[in-house]
Amino acid sequence: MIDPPPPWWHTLIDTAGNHALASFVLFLFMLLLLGVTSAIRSEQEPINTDMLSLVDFAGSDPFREAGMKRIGDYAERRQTWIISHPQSDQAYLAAKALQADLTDSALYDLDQATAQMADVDLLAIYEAFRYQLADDATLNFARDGDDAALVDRVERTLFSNAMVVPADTLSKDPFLINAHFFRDLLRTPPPFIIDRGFLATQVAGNWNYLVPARLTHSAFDFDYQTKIADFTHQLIEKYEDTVRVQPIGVIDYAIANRDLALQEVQLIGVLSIVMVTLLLISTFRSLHPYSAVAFTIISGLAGGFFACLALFQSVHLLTLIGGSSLIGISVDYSFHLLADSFRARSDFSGTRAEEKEGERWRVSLGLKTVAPAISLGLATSVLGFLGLFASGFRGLQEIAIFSAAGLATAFAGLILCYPWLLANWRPTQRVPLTLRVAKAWSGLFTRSERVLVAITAVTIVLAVLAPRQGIDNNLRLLAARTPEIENLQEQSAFLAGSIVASQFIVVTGDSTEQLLQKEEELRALLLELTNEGTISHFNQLSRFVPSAKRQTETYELNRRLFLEPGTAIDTLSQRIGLTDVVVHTQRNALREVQNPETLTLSGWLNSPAAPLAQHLWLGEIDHQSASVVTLGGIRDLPLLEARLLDLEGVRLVDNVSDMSEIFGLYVDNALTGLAIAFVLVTGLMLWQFGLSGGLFLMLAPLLSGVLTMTLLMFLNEPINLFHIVGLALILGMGMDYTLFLKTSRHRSSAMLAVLMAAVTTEFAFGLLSASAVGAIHSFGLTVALGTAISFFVAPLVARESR
Amino acid sequence: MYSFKHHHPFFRLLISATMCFGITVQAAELGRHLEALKPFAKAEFKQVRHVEALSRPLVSSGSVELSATGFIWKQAEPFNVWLIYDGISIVEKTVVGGRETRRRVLDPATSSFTRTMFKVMTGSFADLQSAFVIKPRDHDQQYQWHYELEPRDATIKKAISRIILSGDEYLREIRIEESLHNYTQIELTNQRPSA
Repeated sequence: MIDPPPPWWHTLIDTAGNHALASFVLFLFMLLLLGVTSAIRSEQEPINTDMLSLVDFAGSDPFREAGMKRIGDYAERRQTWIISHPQSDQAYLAAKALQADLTDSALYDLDQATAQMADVDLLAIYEAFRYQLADDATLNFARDGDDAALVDRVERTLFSNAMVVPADTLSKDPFLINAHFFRDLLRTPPPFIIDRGFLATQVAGNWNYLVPARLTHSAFDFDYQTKIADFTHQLIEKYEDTVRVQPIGVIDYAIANRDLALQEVQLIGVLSIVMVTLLLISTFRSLHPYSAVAFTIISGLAGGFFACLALFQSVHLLTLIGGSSLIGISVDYSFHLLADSFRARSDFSGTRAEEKEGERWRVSLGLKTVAPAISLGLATSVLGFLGLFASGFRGLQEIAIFSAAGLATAFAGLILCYPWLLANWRPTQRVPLTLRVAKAWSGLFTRSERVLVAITAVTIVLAVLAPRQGIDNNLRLLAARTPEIENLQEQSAFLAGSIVASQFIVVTGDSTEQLLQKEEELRALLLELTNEGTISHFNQLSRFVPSAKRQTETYELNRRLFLEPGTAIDTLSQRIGLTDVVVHTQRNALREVQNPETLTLSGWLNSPAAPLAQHLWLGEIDHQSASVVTLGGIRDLPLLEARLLDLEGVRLVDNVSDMSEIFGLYVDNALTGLAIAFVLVTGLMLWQFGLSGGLFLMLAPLLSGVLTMTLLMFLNEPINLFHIVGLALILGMGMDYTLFLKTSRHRSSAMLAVLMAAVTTEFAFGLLSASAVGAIHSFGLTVALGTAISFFVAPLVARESR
Repeated sequence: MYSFKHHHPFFRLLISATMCFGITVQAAELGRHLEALKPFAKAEFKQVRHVEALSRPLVSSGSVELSATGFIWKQAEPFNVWLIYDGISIVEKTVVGGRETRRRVLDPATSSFTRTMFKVMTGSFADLQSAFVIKPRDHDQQYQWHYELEPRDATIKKAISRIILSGDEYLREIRIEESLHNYTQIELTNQRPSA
């Protein structure tokens, strides 16, 4: 009788075994190729720490998107240094000195940042257009034809000390129309004052002086962050004896988050490696398995990192943290192979033949035994991650690719490299403690049918009784919550409502002129809301560049006031005693200006005043002119939203709420992706094990997933996107454990592999669950719970499906 | 034995002013001299503003109430306008036809000027030294001492070329000069000391 030909993968394993060194080199070459490809494709900064870059706005309103991007970019490059001291002068002097330090450091672009209103010669910039510039009150008087009110206002202003009017202003601007325009332009956002060029305010007995700075690089540039962090420490130390110095900016949050994430990556990585080391040494009593597993971990992480980099051009820090947990999973395949070396001793009284087989155990023999289980395990994990990829959320897609590619690399490394790495390894003849534990654990499931029914019943009851938790789409999940970060938020609380809120308005028009006119209409409403206290302040382009319509109206007003018979200038002259010279000079000057040139937006954007508000101009989008109106100190958002509802071409953008909405969409997509993954894995199981066998096997991930979610609800964990990511992992791991146990002919050695896999995974994810980053905590807790449950359920399902 | 500290405070101030004439007074020394200045809680004021573009000066009057943290500038003539400074914010209160209106002053120039006025009236010369070069000037028959404050900051210098303060046991006169023909003179009278 002729033996059937060996399956193709036996041939592959034999070939790799016969050409161990060549296979090893081939694997390294392929990994190197992937590394080179990723290096070519990668961005200048391969590690991305920008949490918001994980949120993809594609498909949303382009005007909202442009506004969010502009405000985001504007905020990203700004850093404000707060200098505090009970004495204002002490704070001022330190602010002045610190400003010089920032300039000397070459890390900041101070020219842009310190373009305070006072430093820009606005009078010179606007000189050519002075008859076209007026404040709102002036135009309101003019529209009512109330010139007498204008005269009254001049008189009151001059006698009062509530508005400083330089004496020479009167000779050029007797009605103080330009003076009021500039006063409105230069007003500071409450509660700030401007003291000698610095914004300052008093909070809880301390004077806080603000030194604004503009970063020369992105706040998410890794090297730049390091330089800024070092420089910040130096400055804080330098000033700590005299004043309190605190920088606040996106970069400071980014540095705090980065440091924390790196600490967590290092801690989890190191502890996981220590755990794996202890397990391996105590079980196999040799360094060979240890070096092989270390190789799997390193090559798996490299494979995941390179694949991610090649596909996305950069790898997010969150992916690295999630990916570092791959250490706990990528070694599962190695454990399964290495544990197979105990097949002869797995029942402690192996037959002579089995003992001989044990002595003759070789890697290629072990690989042939475990290959069906681990290849199926890899397939289910990859399918699970494919489901995550379908979510459309950049962060999830990165984790999916990192993990799938990492696992695939670990699998390939096992087949191609282990024959060479373990060529000189002789498995121990002693029975290790871990194997005894595995055997004891395996023995607990003799009455598995009843236990399985009981667990299923308990799961159903608990799922029904579990307190329902809402879905948490809060964007803050992406940020860490540590005392340091909370301190940053507390220190800058007084800035929060005063500078620029995360809510803003996007205005659009068919032309620039229409846009400016719409902004002016909007201004009337915003002034009303400011007086009512709904907002504390706002900023818009049309404050700096009035519409052509408004400029013409102001010019006509000036002609009426100065040139028409019985003019207001005569009345004013009588009231305050303006000299004839001033009156004649003004009249003649105005007569000479017949067709004044209009101040255009493009002209203003090219002027030295542009840095004051150019960030508000969004440009032309879809043949529409668009701008941003920033808001500060919003006290009643729903009211603001309601009042803006009827204005055409005006959109209120709520950054936080919009992003949370997008986040919510991703939750829905992730759930759909998970369902798709479950169906695909079920299909694979049905194909491999038939209808009843396949469906029964799916009970393991199903029970693990449902029970995990139920326990999370009992733990009062509001469910978020990252719990769902964890479920995808549970699906993969739950299947792995069940398949290892089901397909193995040597139950105790298979249980040893599952025990080692579960312990390392539990350890890695248990550590993740303690993370200060909400997203990582949710991810870690879910997988830790799921792994523990899978460890119980998998032996039951595997036994019953035999 | 001669003892400097037994002299009348204003005598000490005058000796010091004479000795230091022409040079910037050191911060510590200046603080010691002006410790002698009696703080007041209330005073009458008359403000006369000379503007080249106007054929007659702008004259206003009223009273000023001063506390440790702020002041109220109660202008009674020719209009009823109050300027209220609480140490942080500035509010203008006007009463027209029995209707009261309050407006928060947010322009930097006015807030800067108001804070300077507060420091001047409370004799916080040590604080003023970071913004002004303070020099003693020759005294005359009318007042026992004069100080000249010259802005250090170029931006402020554009608006105010110097401030001259004069007085005896109290601050009596503030003269704010913008240019040769544009200046404001504030006379403080009838000062009542703080409790």
